[in-house]
Amino acid sequence: MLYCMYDWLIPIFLWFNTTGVTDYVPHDRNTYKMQIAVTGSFETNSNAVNAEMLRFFLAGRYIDNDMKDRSLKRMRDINRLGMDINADISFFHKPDSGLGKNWSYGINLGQRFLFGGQFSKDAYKLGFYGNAPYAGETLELGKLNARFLSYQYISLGFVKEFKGEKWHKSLGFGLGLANANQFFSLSVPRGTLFTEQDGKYLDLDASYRISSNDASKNRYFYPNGFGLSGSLEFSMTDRKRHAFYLKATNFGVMRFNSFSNSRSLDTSLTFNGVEVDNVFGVNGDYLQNTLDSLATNFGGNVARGAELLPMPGTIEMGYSYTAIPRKLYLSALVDYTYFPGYVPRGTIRVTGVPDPFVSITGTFGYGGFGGFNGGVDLGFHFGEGWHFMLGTKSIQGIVAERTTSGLSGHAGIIKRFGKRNNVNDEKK
Amino acid sequence: MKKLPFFPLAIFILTFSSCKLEPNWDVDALAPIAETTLTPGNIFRDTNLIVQPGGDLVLDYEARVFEFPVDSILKIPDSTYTYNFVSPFTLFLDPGTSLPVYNNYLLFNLPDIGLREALLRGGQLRVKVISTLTQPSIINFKIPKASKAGVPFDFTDNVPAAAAGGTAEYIRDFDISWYNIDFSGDNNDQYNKLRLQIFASLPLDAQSFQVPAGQELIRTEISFVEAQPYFARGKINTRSINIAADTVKLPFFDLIQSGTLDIEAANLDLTVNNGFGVDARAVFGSITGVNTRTGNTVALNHPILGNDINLNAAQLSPSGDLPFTASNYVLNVSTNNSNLEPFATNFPNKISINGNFTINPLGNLSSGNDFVFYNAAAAVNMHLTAPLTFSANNLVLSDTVSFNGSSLSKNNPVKKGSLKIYAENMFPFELELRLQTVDSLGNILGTPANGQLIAAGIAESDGRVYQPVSSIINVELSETDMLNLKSAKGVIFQVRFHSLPAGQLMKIYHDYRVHLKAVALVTAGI
Repeated sequence: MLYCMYDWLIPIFLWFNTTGVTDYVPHDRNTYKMQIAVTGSFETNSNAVNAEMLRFFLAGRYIDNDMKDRSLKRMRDINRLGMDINADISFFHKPDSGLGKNWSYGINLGQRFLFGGQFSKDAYKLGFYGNAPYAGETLELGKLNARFLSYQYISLGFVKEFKGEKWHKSLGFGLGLANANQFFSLSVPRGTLFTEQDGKYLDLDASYRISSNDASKNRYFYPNGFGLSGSLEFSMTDRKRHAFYLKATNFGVMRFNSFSNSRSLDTSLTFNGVEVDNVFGVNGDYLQNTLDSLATNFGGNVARGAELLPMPGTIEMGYSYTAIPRKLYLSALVDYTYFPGYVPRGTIRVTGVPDPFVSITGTFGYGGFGGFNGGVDLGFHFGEGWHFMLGTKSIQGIVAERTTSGLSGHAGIIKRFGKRNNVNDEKK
Repeated sequence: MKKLPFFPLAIFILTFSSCKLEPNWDVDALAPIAETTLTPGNIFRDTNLIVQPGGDLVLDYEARVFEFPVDSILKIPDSTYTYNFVSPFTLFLDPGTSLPVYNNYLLFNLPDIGLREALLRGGQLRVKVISTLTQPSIINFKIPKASKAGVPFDFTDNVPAAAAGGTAEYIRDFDISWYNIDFSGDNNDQYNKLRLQIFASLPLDAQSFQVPAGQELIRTEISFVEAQPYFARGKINTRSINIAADTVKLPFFDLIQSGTLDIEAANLDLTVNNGFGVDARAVFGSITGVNTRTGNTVALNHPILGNDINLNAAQLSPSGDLPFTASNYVLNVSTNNSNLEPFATNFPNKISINGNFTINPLGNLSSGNDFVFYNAAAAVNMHLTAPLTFSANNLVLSDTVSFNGSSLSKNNPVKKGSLKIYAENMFPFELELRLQTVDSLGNILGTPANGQLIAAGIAESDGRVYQPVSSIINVELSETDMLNLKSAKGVIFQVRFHSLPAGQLMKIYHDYRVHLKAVALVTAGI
């Protein structure tokens, strides 16, 4: 089951971007002893479904056939779609004593909704138009794969800095605990549906598995299971212009409890309609029994038991070049999240600081849940240690929502305490 | 101290308090929903259809109209007999002393039969003895004329001593299944009488003791419990029972709501059966067919109505699985000797019969040799046969199918749609389909289908249809129809039959059928 924020909030988020949520002000990093950040991000994207349709879908507005048709034109054999909503409060501290020299630690607390999947063009047709327009045809439904996760997490991380003559390095690790709240998983490795020209019979050849958490405990924060994850981070910054980092975050497993449900079916059958023995002998029980029988035949084998799912771990690698110190930064990063529908994403960023209190970042990337994306991030420095930022990576989904995909946005505010000398300034 | 900015916090909180997505679009689904094959057996339900050598069908329906309750004759009611021995004066009881507790007939109160003999298939004899004797005693029971495998009922047992001033109790149950009991007395000239002998005595090792005058020494209770005769012989009293009205239901006419039917022929046999070993007499005052749907009644006219039908007593000779041969009288009612055709074409779903059944109408003529077996019956059976050769004139079959539309509105967000019914009809009838939705009170909510025709099968020169004729019926379901369906509690399914060519009697063959397949094209909201 999919979830979203309140409808009125969506338009706000449409202008924002998830890229770089944890590193808004790169030139200002490591200049404070303590940081508190509150951030929120939203992203939904696809390589086929238009932004207008995503927007209407999320808002619960009626999707008409013209809108469906415009997305259908962009469909290919296999298509991707995803949504990631994240809210996070973090605390980062580099104490003068207690942890040892050059050690710091951080704590994150947050909520994440993540949905992603891939589907065939025919699955889109069946799902959005029905089978009637395709009577006499065979619809290929296989290779359908989708998953939804909702969980709350808390993580604790430690970073050790190594200051060298040329490179300033840091190595971090963290552990996370998750409250496994909800999940839904659908896998259709094989599936075809043929509708006879007049609808007199349906031929279904399919193998599928659907699983979900305990349906009676679908409340937020309800502990339907738990997850464990680990993270590693390494970064190198020279005393001139170069910075490089590599992160592997949130790798682990999530176990939903033994009340989780699943249905699976591997069948090939022809459905001719319910066989009524004697139309003059039908009663209410007969109809109900028939419906039950249909549910049994088409609903597959029902099972109940614990489900083990991988956490949506992310690998991210980035490089940043300071073209003009405190004025212009160039960076490139590649990230991949282990989740259905997500492909490796590459992003190029250019950040300019026209004023000490303002930063503007332009992004261009390809991958993730969608295709090509362009975006803008804005950062504001207002007052001692206060930073506010907002942005979007998918600006194309706003300016050309009928032909492109992508709706995203992020916003955050950071308060930093205990200013110290900037490592780059020290070099100067 | 600076205040925390509101905006990021609001984002954070609202993200946590997310809501369910409610996506909204329509899909057009096309699928077969049901198929059925309507055969002659479906139309004439709960009825035996006999296939004739030529493949045509004969309706054959049997039902029991009336049955004389055999239990009212052949029943030994539960009864208890109490006897005691009271000391007539002061007695000195020595070891070996014998006391005659009872030696006389048990009298059975059987108002409808004077029993001379009975063979029991079940039951118990309970013997209860209450003794005030302070010494152990020996009790002996004898029923000389009750025997099993030739051995009379005779048992002796010990009764314990009572405490001074108290009593000792002795109870024992005997299975009396398959005991043959002679109720005719010592000289075979009595009815409902059975000699019982009870003696009590002191064993030889008992001690002598004195009993004052007037003291009850022994009390016995003899109970017959659920004694079930298999066979009884004797004198069955004259008894008369009225045959109740509205005793027969004809389920195959329940479906017919209106229209007329011309039939070629019909035959109704009313068989009066006497399985009792005593003469009987039946009188049918009236036989009326009632169509409870229309309220129309048609009284059957036949010469035998109002006249006595005398039946001889059954004979004590085996017949089939029965140990006796029943006496039968068959009252044949046909279209030739009665008004059976208008009677039948009234489509009576109930037949009301008024009459009287009397057993032993002339009194005791058998010198006490009337008999009855537990599985015998005096009954009236109806056997209706009619060749399925008829002409239907707007004959409407109707059935209300219970249906909970509210579940449809919850689980199936169908907005509108249409139903296509593909029909393959071999019956030489044009079928007209009508579907109506009704609420819980039977009020009609809507009529999605009204008057759509399924073409009749076309008969060859021999009057038989060999190939089905295809038809397609379109039923458009508007949004109003869907709303009606969602609030419906039932669907009235009506089929109107009309013979083609009209008025021509057509034989119905065993392979006739109409195959219906319903395919739905619906627009459903997601």
